[in-house]
Amino acid sequence: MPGNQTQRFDAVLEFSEQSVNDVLSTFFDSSGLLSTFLNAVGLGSADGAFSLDVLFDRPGDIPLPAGASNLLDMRFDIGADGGLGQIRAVAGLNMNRTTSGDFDIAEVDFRNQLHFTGFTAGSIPIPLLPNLFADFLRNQVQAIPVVPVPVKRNTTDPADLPTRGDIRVIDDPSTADRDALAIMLTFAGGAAGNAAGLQDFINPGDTGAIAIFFRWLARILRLKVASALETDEANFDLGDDFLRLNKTIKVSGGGETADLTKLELRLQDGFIALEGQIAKSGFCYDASGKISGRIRAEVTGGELVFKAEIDDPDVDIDIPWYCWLGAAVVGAITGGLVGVLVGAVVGAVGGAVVGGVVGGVVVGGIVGAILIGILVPVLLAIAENVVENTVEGIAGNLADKLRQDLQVPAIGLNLVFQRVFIDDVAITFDARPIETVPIRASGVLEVRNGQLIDLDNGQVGSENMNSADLEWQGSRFGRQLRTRCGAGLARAGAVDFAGILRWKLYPFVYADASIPLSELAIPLPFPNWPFLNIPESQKYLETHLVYAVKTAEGRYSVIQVAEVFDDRIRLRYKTYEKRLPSVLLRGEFACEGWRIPEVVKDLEHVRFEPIPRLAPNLALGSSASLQSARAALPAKGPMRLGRWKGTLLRPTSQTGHFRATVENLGGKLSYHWQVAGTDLLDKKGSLQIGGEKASYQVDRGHLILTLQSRRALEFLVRVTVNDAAGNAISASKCVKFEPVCKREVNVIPSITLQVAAFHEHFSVVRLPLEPLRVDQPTPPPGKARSSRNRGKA
Amino acid sequence: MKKPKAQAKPKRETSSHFEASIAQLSPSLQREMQALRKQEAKILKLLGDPQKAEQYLSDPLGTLETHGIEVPALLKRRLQQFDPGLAQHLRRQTYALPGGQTVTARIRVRFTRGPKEG
Repeated sequence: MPGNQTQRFDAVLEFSEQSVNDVLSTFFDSSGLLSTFLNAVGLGSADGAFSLDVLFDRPGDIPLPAGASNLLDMRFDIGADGGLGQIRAVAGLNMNRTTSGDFDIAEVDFRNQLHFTGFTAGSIPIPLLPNLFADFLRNQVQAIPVVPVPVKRNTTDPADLPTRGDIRVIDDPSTADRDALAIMLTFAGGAAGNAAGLQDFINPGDTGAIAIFFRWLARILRLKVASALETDEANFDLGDDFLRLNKTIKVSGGGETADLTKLELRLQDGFIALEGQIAKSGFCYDASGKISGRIRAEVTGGELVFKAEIDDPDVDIDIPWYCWLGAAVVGAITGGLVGVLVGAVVGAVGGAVVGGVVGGVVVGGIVGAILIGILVPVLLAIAENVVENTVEGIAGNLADKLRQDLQVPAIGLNLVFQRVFIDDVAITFDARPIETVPIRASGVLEVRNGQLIDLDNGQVGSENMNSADLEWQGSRFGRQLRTRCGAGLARAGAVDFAGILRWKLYPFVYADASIPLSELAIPLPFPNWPFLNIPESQKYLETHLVYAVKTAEGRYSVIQVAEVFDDRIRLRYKTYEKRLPSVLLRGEFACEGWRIPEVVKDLEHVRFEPIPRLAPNLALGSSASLQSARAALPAKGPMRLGRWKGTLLRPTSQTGHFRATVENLGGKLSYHWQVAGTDLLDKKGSLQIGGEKASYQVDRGHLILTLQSRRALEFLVRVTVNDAAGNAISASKCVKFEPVCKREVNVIPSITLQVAAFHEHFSVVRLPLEPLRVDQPTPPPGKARSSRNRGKA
Repeated sequence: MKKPKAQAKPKRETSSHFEASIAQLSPSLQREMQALRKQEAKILKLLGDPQKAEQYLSDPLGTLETHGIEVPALLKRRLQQFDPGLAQHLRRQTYALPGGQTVTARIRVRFTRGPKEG
């Protein structure tokens, strides 16, 4: 049902409980805030280790204000094994509409909505600590930005940034307990929907999803489709579940022009129905063709791909009875060679007599050049280019914005698209928090049989090494990876190396361990048979299991055996630095982000990347067998025309945001910023950078730098952080300002250009004729008819 | 002074379309086509049946004569030489699309009186 998932909000992002759990865990770990608090209350032995469980269920065991809503119940186990105590906090989520008006930030609001704190050791409540924890949350943490929504309040363009973001915690009281956090977006021309009606639409196993209300998609598509067809957007009507042409317009392609009498996109259960109708008249015929189909969507390699399935076309041709008789007579005159001599007959004898009625001309012209040659590529262009690029633009922009964490102090999220469903249009994703903790060493190590590995320094060597954490010992199938020198290892039970963040390593139980080769890879049975010609890299099928290691020097590390060979392995590793005071400086002058692909009318700066599918000689009208046509198709790969790419040049923002993230430096901190050798002594002021004027604003760990000119510059930004005890740490970053940033983007060419490219690169293959049959009238609507076109190469 | 009437836009009338359609046939054939046209109502009724229309595509003479429509002699002789292969071009056409999908166009031919007057 249209609007069912979004409850008539234009778009809704949902995050699973686990996803919010990951974001909050990353926040507490990356900021070092929890570690600071634990140190302050005498729980320094935890060494910052914790595990967190976030629940969206409204707690029934503690008194809550009647109006308390959108609640998060956060339960921390302190210490690597959780043995040092349990902390609990219940707080409300709030949409913070920033005074600058640039962001609506979904945040855990400790300042105003902290409803409960608790601290227990085992089952014994510890007095005083809950109050200290509440003070810490209210005054030091204040709020945790979970999802920043960039907004533009006054825009009138439905494809621009949202005008408003809203929030709701979905607490499912049913036994299914499908809870989720929903961020609802409203765009220009839209209105807020029914938040209370929202339900979890995240696919089991995924951590989040974006649902797009078809009506909003239609609002954007109306602009794009109209522009691509070079007509006015007023020529399209739209509703909750449809977008359709309301007048006849001309379309052309392959040297032909015809009337597009119908074009409709309609949301159905699981797909978008597509229907097009075209008409063409000649001296002795009136023809109309109708094609319907379905647009389906999938995620391939992290990219959204929309595909059109086309049904068998219906062609109606009206011919005056005498025209056919005239053609028959002309055919007789030329000795029955009409089929071969169509051109000669029409030119030399027929002229106005047969005027194009001769069968070959009518059928070849209408069915081939007009119907298949124009309508099919028009529909494919709309489905596989206009719709796809628009939806991808929407989803991509949302994903881009969730990655940013400089303008607001949020934990950035990488969204990896997993699946897409059409009912509204919902795209599920895996949300991965971006951690900003110091890493001591990382990379890929090549380890020969018998060598030792020091994960603290990324070194590989023999027994003579001063320190080692692992050894790759043994020979052939008896090889194993075992811990050395007091290092501990735990099986992480995962294969996603990038998905392991530092806080996920805390709860494991680390111990001496050996991992046999059979756990790391499965050797092929006969790898050395010469006729099999198996390359060395494919003799083992790696499991890619991930292991957590606590090094001999006490650092957390994560490893994965990426490749196994007869004489060595390749080991991917990442070792986190110990909890030392540190500061991480990030920032840039960003390229402006939000953009839905534009329609272009010429291809001067646009590059078409076709995906070859048919051999060049298999063009429209050529008589080829289906088998040869299929043989010309690639064995696998996306079955689509290709993509048009353009280089987008945009001015780089003259305002740069820089953020200093401090770890393990407690108490009251002071930040001292320096830019291009100039100390920034005030909260705001001006300075010279490379002879150019600039202004700045400093808010503790956040520096906003605005350049007055657009000249290319390169300069150093430095931050020094001091604590009350006089300890100081600093970090520097070389910053480059380029006046223009380039981005490779998808573009939507006008339909005329797309149809031309279709004929140049692909066209269609006319297959051998089948026996003639004059069809009975089309069955009434709703009556299923068989279709023979499901076969795919 | 009486205002001259605006010149009427030329219209494609049934009769003129018919005449234009046969204009380049020989005078004898044109006369016979005119004669045959007197039975137009009967012909159209006949061709309103899809099965008959199908027969008419591949064997116009046989279809007309079988149903009692008299075909003049010269026209008849020409149509006796009609190559049924002409109708081959109105067979269903199957196309392979770039995605590897095949579609078969369902072609429905209707025989009509010709362009309407006005």
